[in-house]
Amino acid sequence: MEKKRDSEFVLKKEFLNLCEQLIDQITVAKGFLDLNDERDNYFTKATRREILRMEDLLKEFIKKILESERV
Amino acid sequence: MILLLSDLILIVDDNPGIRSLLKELLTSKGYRVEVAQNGEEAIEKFHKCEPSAVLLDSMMPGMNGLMVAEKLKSSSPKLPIIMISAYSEKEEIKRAQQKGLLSYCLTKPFDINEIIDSLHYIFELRLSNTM
Repeated sequence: MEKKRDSEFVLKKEFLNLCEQLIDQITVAKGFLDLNDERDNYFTKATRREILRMEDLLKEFIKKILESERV
Repeated sequence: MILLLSDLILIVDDNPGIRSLLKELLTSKGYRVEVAQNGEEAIEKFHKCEPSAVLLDSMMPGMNGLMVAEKLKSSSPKLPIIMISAYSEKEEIKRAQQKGLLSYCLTKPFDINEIIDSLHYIFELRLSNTM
């Protein structure tokens, strides 16, 4: 039982680490999009909107992991 | 808005994408920039280039951001440090702020305007302290 809980804990830590790496990549993608000269372009705006949606989903996922036991 | 063009900013992050984004952003705003990919390199570059401020990632392999902040503050207590923290580390960062290690803290995913605003904030603070 203890062993199972330990492996779940390790797994949650690994999930969290992967989520943080994804957050980094979203930050970079959104940042470069904001740096470009065509930020008012329809497709740029649409891409930004979709990136923000990914960002929200990831935040929600991280929140759920943190809410779960022992993380 | 106070923008001192000669200010040199040291960027410390293990993610090459973040380093590249911050470098592009800050140079486009007229800042001089040095980059380091880990804590050890950050301390070495800090002593070589004496930056006006440090943009520091909290979650790095080896020395993490808080360890780096403690080292830098021990040799330069007035150095402004802007910590960029991971989304899941809010509590640890709060404790570091209470210890007075950080001038400003941002959480990933950050917006590029937040970076510029935080630099303006610390440089305006520096200016008002010298008046």
